[in-house]
Amino acid sequence: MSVDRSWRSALIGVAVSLALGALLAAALGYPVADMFTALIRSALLRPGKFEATLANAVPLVLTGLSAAIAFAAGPINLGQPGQVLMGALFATVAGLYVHLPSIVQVPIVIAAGGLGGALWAGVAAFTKRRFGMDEFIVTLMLNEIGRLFSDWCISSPLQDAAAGSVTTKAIVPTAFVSRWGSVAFGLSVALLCVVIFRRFVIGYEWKMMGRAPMFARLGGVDNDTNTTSVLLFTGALAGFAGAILLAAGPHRFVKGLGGNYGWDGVMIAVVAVNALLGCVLYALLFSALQTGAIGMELAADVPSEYVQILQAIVVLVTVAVRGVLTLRVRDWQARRRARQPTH
Amino acid sequence: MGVVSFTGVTKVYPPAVRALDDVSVTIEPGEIHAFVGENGAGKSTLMKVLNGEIRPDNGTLDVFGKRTSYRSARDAIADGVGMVHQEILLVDRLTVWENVVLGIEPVGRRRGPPNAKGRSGKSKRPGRFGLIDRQRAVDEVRRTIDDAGLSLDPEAVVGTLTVGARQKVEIAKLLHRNVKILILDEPTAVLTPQEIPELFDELRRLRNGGRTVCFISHHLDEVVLLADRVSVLRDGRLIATVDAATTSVAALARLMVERDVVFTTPRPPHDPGGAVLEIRRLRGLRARSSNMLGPLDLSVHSGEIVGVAGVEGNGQHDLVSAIVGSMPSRSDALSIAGHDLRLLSILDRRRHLSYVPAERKTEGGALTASLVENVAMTHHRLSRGFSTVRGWLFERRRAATLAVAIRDGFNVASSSVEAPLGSLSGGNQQKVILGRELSADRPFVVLDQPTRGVDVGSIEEIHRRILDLRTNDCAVLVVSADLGELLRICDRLVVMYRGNLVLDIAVEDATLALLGTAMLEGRDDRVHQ
Repeated sequence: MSVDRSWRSALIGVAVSLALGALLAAALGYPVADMFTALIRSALLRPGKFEATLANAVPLVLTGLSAAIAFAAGPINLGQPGQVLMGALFATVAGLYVHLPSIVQVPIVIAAGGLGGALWAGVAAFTKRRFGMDEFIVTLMLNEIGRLFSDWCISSPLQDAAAGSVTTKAIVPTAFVSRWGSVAFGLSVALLCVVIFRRFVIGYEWKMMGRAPMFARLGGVDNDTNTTSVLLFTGALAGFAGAILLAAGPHRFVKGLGGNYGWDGVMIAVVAVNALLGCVLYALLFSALQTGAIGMELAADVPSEYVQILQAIVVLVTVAVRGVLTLRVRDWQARRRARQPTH
Repeated sequence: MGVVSFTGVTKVYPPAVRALDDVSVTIEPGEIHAFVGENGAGKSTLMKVLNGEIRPDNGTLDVFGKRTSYRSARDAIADGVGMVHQEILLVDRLTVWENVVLGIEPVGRRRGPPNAKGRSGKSKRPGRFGLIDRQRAVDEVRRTIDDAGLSLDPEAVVGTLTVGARQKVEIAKLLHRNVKILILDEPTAVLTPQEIPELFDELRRLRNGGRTVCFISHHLDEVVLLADRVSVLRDGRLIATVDAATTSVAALARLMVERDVVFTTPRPPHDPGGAVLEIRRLRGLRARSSNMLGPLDLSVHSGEIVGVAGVEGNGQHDLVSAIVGSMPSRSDALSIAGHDLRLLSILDRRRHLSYVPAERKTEGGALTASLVENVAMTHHRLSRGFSTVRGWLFERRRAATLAVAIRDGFNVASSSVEAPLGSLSGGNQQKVILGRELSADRPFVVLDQPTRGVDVGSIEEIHRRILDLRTNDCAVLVVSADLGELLRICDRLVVMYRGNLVLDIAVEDATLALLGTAMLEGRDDRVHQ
């Protein structure tokens, strides 16, 4: 039986998890009503907050698509955290040493980010193809290497000596990306992904490889090449996220720039069952929770970390709801149909 | 009052597939009861209800006069009902007796009087602390095997046994758990022709010993031979239950498909032309079965159907894989219509050949993908109109047109070409796959188990299509575990034994005896005549 990706189970899942989150908050003695009001206000309603939620969703959309596309096509790319950092690093270099008008500079910086992510994933693609090493392990281990390497870069060769903390100099202002610019970029990339899967031969081959690899192989599809292309493409998506984090965020590679965006992307892919549109929607939900967290802490005196608990509940409950609740519904439907005589 | 009675049993697979629809049937004590029907008729589902694996959505099941509500196969076994599945699940490295007692090992000191001479020494070994009493286990298993009249050595390692013997181990396992009602799912599908009579004798002996046997079969001649009564299912409904003594193969087939089935597919005479597939000294570089492939020579001419027979696992699959290119091989020649295949990728070989793989669910198609996506495979790179803009854009509409053409041309029962392949019955899935491959119009077609797990109606259609290929001067290679099928449609048969071709014979000259010796002993008996 295929996994249920319906709107119904997704909505039930989110509703049930918010209810559970409320129950848990009440049990911990938090003001539940105030908490949700503050959360919604500071995520959506306060001036500028809606845009902030949209903009914060962009890196999540990109890392979510990165994980989802890889999983849907077969290769297990779990290297988003490292690819985000390498993307940000390459974008930083492009932003520091290239000086061109904004119309050229911004695409170059973002492309450099994609290149960094793709190269980092490309290491796993190479070791897979050349030595048959499991991309699952290699991408995972490259995360740590990527973190340490970028930490070294920003604390030694690229460090801003004038700054008191571990950070690079600011990239040139022509490389800055506005909030709406990053939202437009995220949307276009999401759209591009959908078009690739629906309209491109390579998208068809990726999908078939994910569904039935032997079927694809015997049908003449070059699975080795496609595994490489999937890893490079999804690495580039995560790298874009790094570039956007830099160019639309602090404009300099500060320590901890990648945050938890890589792993959140993997989580989003899992919750969305690798559906591309689902990734965008769950990214918006998680972004709203994360954007509203500080406001919630200030207004309702609930620690902002509680949002992480809410996220975890959404993930677990949505997955569980899909598994259990929909099975029950089908079972019940089957029984009802069985009692209707047909002859 | 039967030992088993189904009353109004209904099972719906969501969303709306009625696998069983108000089925009521009684199984008498001490009979061999066969269940026949096309694929998807519901016979497996019915047996799984009896076995506790599937809970009916409506209706009741009484076993030994008692209403049941099995939650698992374990419950059914406790009640004396057990099933031998098609896939045999045994631990290869353990012995027969170890497999039989697995899960119910006799633990602790032997009870009752110690056995007579010779064994008393061993039996003193204490079985305390949860240690298995080996001797007692062996003795008990031996008694079970002897009582049932199975020819099995309890001390043999299962990995060394033939498939037929493994099947007996499965039966012994159930008997050892005191199962009174035995269910067998297509027991003869995995056996060689020589092994089948032995199984039948053993099943009759079990019946005469008071047990009840239910079995599923696609082979109607076997059903008529072995069963006491036969129940026919169609579309989830029970059509009839008849006495085997008063029925015939043709009558059963008519009940199954509601029309006359032509069992002797007309094979009009047709002279083969020149060689299309030419293989010289082909050797496998990686053995998938324990036997290395080749070196072997084979040629298939245009307008000729060559069948590859043999006990499964004797290199048939390797031969096909070497031709298609999914397994590395070396050869002095491997060509189709003059095109040397040896250095070509799978995709480039597909320009010259069509291929229906043996594993429908993982190799022939993608069950979760739509019909459209399934029929587009290979065409998307090689056929005109399936991709545009230098092969970058995928033309889904062209694929949809082909899917509709296949659905209509091959009588595929499917509401929409956007439905997943997995929502179709096995026979319909196979017709979609066959349709995709035949629409490519290649000079050479290789079919691996083209009708395995396919219903009678679809088999007829598939055979007709294969014979059409011959009329159109294609060269066809068919691998099948079903000898009857090969004898029906092929012009020439080759038999594989341990990776080599041991017999190459025109179908007119082939006898079951000749084929049997070649399959089992790798000997060409014609030489010794």
